[in-house]
Amino acid sequence: MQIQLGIATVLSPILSFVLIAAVGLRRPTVAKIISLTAATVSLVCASMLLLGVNDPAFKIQATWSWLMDDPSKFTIGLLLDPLSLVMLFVVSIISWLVQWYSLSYMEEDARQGKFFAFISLFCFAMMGFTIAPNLLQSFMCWELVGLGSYLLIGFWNHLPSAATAARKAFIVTRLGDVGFFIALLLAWTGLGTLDFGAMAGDAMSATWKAAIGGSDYGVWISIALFLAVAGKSAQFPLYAWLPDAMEGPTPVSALIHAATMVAAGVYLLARMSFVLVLGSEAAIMAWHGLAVIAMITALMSGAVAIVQSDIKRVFAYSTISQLGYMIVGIGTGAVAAGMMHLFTHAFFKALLFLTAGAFIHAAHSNSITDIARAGGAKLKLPMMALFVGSMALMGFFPFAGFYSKDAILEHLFVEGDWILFGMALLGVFITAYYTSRVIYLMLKVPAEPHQGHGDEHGHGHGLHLGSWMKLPLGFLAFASLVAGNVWLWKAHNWFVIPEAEHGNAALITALVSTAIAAAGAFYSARVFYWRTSADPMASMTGFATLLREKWYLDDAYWAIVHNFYLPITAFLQKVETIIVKGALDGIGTVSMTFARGFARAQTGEVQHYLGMSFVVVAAVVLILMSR
Amino acid sequence: MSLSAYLILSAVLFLFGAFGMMERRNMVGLLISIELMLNAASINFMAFNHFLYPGTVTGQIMTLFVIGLAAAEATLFLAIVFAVYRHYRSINVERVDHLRG
Amino acid sequence: MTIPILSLIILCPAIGVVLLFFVPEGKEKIVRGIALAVSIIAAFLSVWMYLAYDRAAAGFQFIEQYAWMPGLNSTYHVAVDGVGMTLVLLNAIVMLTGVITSFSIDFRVKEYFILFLLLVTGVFGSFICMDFLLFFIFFEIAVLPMYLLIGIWGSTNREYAALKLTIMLLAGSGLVFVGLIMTYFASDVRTFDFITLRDSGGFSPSFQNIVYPLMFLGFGTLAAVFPFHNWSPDGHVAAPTAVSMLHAGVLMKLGAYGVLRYGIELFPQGAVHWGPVAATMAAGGVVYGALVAAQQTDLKYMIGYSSVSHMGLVMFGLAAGTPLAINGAVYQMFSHGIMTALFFSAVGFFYEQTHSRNINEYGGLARKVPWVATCFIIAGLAGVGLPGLAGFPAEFMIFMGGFERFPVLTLIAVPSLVFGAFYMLRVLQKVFFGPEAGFTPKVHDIGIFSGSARVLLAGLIILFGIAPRLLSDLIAPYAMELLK
Repeated sequence: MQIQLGIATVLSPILSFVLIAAVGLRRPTVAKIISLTAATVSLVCASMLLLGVNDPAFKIQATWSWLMDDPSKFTIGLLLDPLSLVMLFVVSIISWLVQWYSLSYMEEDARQGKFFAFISLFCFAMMGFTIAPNLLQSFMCWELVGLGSYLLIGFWNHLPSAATAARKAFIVTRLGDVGFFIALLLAWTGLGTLDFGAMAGDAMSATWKAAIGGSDYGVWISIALFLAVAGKSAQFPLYAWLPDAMEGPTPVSALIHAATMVAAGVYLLARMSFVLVLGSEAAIMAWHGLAVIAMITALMSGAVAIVQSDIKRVFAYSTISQLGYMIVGIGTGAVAAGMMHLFTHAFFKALLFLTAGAFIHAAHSNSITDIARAGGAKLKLPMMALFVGSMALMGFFPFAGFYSKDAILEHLFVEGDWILFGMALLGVFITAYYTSRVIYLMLKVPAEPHQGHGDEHGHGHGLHLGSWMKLPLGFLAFASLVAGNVWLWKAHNWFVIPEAEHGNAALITALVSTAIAAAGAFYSARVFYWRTSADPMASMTGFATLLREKWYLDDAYWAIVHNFYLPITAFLQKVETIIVKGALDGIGTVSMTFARGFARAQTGEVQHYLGMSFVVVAAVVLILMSR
Repeated sequence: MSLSAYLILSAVLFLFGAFGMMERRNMVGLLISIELMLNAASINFMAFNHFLYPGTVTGQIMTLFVIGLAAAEATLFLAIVFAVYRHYRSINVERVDHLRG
Repeated sequence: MTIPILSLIILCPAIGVVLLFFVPEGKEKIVRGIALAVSIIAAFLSVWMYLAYDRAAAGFQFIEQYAWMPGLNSTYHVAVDGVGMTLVLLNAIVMLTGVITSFSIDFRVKEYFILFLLLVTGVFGSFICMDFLLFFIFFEIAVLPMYLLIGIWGSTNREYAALKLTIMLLAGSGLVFVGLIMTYFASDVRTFDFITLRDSGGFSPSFQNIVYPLMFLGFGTLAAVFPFHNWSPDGHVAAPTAVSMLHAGVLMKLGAYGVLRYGIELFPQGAVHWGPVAATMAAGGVVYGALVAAQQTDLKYMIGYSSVSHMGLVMFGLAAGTPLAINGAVYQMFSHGIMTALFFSAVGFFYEQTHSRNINEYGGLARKVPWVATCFIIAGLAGVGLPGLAGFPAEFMIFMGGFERFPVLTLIAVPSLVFGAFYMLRVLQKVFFGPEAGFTPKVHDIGIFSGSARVLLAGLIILFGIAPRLLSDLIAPYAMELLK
């Protein structure tokens, strides 16, 4: 029964894609009905599956041979366990809400059919990834997720910026995919299986610790996987694609770049977290190293969010930062806490993006100040949603983010990992600072009337909120409020949650982090609302430039491509024309030169030929006679 | 008369022919030179047959063949000469050098 | 009575050639009709044979054998196994779509189709012939019409390209011919029959080490193995559309097939001995082709160098020689065949209308001609190795199998996944996305008939990407057998 439900969940989006491609591309209404129906089927099935789980050891697996006639190799299928079902639920509910929301958001677009087809394809890929029972299917769907994001980011591909952003996203994440592929190669040659269950088996323990090339097996696979995770989940140094991905329609940003695609890397880590059990000390150290990188990423991107004026980009950088927190949790061994943050973050970040979309849709501008000038603060529901989402993001009680972020902080505290703990608290401060900044800027409309252009659409008409947008915003706002409690209420059915040894660790971390978040929000208010403090960025001009230039990471990419990669290709092109082609042409030229020399002997006069033959005959005769 | 007298005659004839082949520019002259050389060969056949294997007719048969061949060859050659003349308006072999490399 | 289906498949294009001789000049509709009819029949027969092949039994099937040159122990011996089946199917597909694409040819139509069908006959013959001598003859029949097809109907720099291609390929077949004669005299059985030669197993290791390089380089030249690949992009560019399709789609596969059958199968120890060298050349080609492709502005050159990269993968799989890698290599021959056929078909479509293949002279085509653009994008993504399209199972198997034997070389070749994405997406963006630019307004969407070829190819790319067992089940027994 569960198997059928799982199949229905995953296949209905792809069915929707095929149907829309067949009949719905030019008929938006049909496309919408098909797409929403499929999303509803997925959501219902995924919810039923999740509700049916009440034991962390729950596991159902079904596989079919895919690549060859051998059911033990290269299979596809589904693995239903609490981890995958939680993720499946998150993906299906967010995608349902986003599609519902898109009914309004995309209503003026001539190519809605295509949009819903792409969204369906993307959902299929993401769900297929979620339920993958082995690394092969994970990889395939992981790549298809990349395709989906390429198509959706580049949806408005007549805009060169959108096409470029899509290409950048695909290529940068693909760089990470190379890591994934190497992990596949290593797993297949070393462990002889790609199946998650088999890889996690106790029998594999020795293999995981087997030494190859100066390090052990678990370390190599982990490093390869980290590359993949850095690509897809936007971690340093591969995160720069994510902010650019905001070129896509906003519902896409909400779906892909908040709740699902970027969570894929985190999910993969959670899936592979058995390495922490089976692997050697070195492998555990490698995971810890990943956590450190993620923490640094969180701080770096949080800092960049402070200086962004584009509302979507603020949230994009905050996504990178929050993904960092999830990876810190999983990398240090708190898988459940990491997944919890993924769960709550999906709701409040989708809420924030959809809210941003509502503002953008109404004000026809991405800039926070433009939206504020156009009267964004008058839109009650989005403002309420923005407030709820921000509170959750900052981690204030009783919003969802409070519980999940605290779970990670508490874990660091209990583990006594003071460096990461301290950095995480700094991250909390930064998060509170930039998140509340958005609200203050929205409320604090600039006094002088705006003279420029770019927001003509907003002026005078009054802003309006798309009718299909209300339900998702309302629901997500509610979810951002309760998701943490729902998790605490249900999570023991899904995960083995270790009892805290220090009884008051939770209380201490909760108090400390709330205090720090409050301090961040208060300081931000002094700077951006009351304007009683100077903007710290004004005094730190060098640092501010560094942030505005996004740590020069884009420039580094640019330099690598233009000063390294393209020169190599240009050099090889020269090698091709001068050496390879030149050698062939040279052989031709040399033989032609010889041929011309010999051809000169051919005078075309019969008597010369005759004379030559007499000479040759005479010579032969003489040679014969002399012997 | 001894064999050597015939051989000397045929050698002289052959040399005349060869000289003519080299020297003449007129195609008909070439044909005549070729005939001379063929006849030199025929004389050799006859002479060897007569002095070394008297009583047999192998040499004479060969000579008949040569004569027949020479006739056929002359026909072909003259046909070619006509064709060449039509094309080049000349039967001077130095003008016919289309095969020059 | 069994139907001699293999002979019928060869006869289809051959009869087409004969019939076309008797069509009077100027009756172009009849010429095209005959070409289309024979290719449909051949495609139908191939699909039928594919369905009739007994998978459980595997091995050589549909065997026919008649005396041909008894003095030399050379027979007319045709049969197919999983590999031959795959390639016959590929050839039938490319032939059919190539003929449809060629309908736009209007210069010396009769001669064009005669040579086209002659080439196809040679390719069919090579794939199913189990006699080394007869194989060689078919092989030459497949190579030579290329010269005329490029030289007469080609475009950019066609005499140069045609000459270079022919000389390189003949140099390659010269090496093969030497190897053929050496093989004949080295075996005790004195036969050209492939199966007898293979099963007699009488080649000493030192002999194998000498002959295998001849086979690898001779056939490898045809498969554009690095660094003997330079003829291939030039040839692609100069050739008319359908000839590029055949050239990249099947002719290069003929080289890889030759390496597999008359190199690896006959001289397994030689193949193992030279494996590292062959794999290095192949891996070099994979990376090199992908990097050089990034510099191309001519669409056909771009595809030409991507073919060098993809054929490098085939050769890498063959050089690695593990069952998985061999399976992947044969799969890649198939998927690269339909992929490049689709590529060239789509590029030819633009070229016919605008006489430009320069990527900088297009822009925004996706909105103007959505169908062709979609087909091209599907081919492009398959070339990048996206799962769900035919390129992925092949690349996956090649790398998985290759890693067991040559881990370092595999790790060198794997980044071509990114390099491939780099040049492919750059082209997609320049040509299909962004605002309309350059020649784009001149391009009009495709007719249903000529579009059917592209849609068929795109559909096959998806089909064989989703259900790889359609082919891999055929190839796997062969690859397992080879390991012994």
